[in-house]
Amino acid sequence: MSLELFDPDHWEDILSHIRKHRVRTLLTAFGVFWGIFLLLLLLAAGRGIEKGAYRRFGRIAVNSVHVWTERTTLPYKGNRPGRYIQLTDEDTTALKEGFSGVKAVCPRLSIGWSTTTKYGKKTGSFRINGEMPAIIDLEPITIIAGRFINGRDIMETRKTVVIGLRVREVLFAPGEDPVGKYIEIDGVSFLVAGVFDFDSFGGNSVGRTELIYMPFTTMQRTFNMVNRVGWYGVLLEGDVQADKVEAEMKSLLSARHDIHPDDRRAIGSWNSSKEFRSIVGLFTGIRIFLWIVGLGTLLAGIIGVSNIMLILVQERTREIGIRKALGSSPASIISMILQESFLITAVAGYTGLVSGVLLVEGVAWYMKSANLRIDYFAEPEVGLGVALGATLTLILAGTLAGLYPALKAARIHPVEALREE
Amino acid sequence: MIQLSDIRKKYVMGPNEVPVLNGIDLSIQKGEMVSIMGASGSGKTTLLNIIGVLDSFDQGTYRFNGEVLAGMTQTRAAAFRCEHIGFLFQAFHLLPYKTALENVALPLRYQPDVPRRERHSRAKAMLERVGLDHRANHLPTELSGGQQQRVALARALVTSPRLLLADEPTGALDSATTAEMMELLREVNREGMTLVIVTHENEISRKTDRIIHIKDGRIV
Repeated sequence: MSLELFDPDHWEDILSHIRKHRVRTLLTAFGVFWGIFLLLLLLAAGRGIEKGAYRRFGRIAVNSVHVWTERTTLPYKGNRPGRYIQLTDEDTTALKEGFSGVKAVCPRLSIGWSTTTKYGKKTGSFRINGEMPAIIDLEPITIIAGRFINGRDIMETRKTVVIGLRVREVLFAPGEDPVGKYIEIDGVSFLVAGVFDFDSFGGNSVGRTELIYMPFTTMQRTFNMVNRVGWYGVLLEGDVQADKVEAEMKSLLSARHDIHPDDRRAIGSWNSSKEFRSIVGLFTGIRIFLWIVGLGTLLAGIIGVSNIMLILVQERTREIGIRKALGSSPASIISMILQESFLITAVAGYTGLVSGVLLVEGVAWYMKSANLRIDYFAEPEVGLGVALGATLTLILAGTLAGLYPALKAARIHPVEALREE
Repeated sequence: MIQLSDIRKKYVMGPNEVPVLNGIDLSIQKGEMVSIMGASGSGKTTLLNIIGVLDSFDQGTYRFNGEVLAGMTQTRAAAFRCEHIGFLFQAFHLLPYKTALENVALPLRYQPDVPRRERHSRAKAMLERVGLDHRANHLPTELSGGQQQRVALARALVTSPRLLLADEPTGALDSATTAEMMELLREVNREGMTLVIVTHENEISRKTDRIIHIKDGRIV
């Protein structure tokens, strides 16, 4: 049987069978072609959607923890419940020193909408946040003019601000560049260092640009907040478990502020890895769904091949009988049918594979060269794993499609087969 | 060469058992040319198929060159046929999409270690022997009945078997080609080949060394 695999006469037989039923073979092959083609397109499109979503979500720091305080609910060490916990710079130092795998601990402050912001004759009420430079890695913002808060702003408590797009629209005339201009917040002048826009991940981004960022230290000093901290945004290294750090930070703060260990409300927290994981889960689900749909289509193609091979065995019963009478072994008959179904599946499948890859690459090339940006859809792609998976599926499919007909052929009794007309 | 003792065979058709061979005792010597005669349904083709290990038997002993043939697997039976036996059928049984040369070369593919080139040269020599080398590249449909049976004979002989089994080899031929075919078979026999021919034509059986009559599954 192994020798026959390389016997040109053997392949010549198979090709002459195929040539004899060209249209039928072509139609059968099309089923497999379409199966693989569709499987690839579905997976590539799925990957495109996934990449598109990650492109947006990736702007929100993947691995981060956010911690804030509220009122206590349990009495502890002589303290009554209902006590408000105020975070301070000492907490910041403790958090910075107490953990490894932390990229940045960003203390944050906000004075809400209580202030009035003025530029010339125009006024508005915007939310004002005091931030550290590293917050740009935590928030999905893009600087569209000027710069963001930097280290010198923090060190020198400079009176600089970075304003949101909506703030620029309200305070400045259309076309006027706000960078380098001074705005007044509650009577104090601030230099506009930059303008930012917000990358929305679903939902409305306009409201989130009615915001002004100023250096954290500047806010503490200018608005008389001394050493107070509103809440923390903590950026972690990629391989650090956010859930663990979140819990440990909360315990540390609980201990520092004499909060009952079981008081779950006193310190609130959130970590983005939970969200990220749920999105990863969603896309895993989508991918599984696409594989099922694609494999289903492919299966229909394979069943088509299997059916045709069964008909072929039926039609060739007498030939199989003759071959057996002349000395062909059952293994040789099995090999003949398997090779034929494998050839049809492999050629059709490979054509589907190549066509699919060409189409996907073509679309990706077009999207890239035309700089086409569609929400939630990036350039589709077929990964090496998918291509390998599809090829492996093909090999398996070809073998499976021929197996039953081949076994049926091997069981044909030569005497009965020779009697067939 | 062939020794059959008390060979019995029945076919099961639904709830009924139909006995076909009812205790056949037969010996065929090496180099003999034997004909088996009998009416339709007498069991002569079944007997030929058993001798050619194409069919199994229910009871009895079959010795081929002293070796007892029993309980053969399909693979072993195929190898045995390939090595020792050539077949000639009434309906020729050539593969229609293969040329005369390819048809003749076919059994050599089932023999181990016969290279492709040798297969073709041996097939060509065998076609020459039956006088059809000029038709080597023709399809069976392009040949007359007599020519097709000669291609089938070349195919049966190409593996140099020890035994040639022919089931009504001239049944589909006219009288002139029948005579030609019988002359060819006689020639093959003269060269030492053992031949068993199933026929219902006296004209054919008369040309063999021995006639075995079979009736209701028994030799009479």
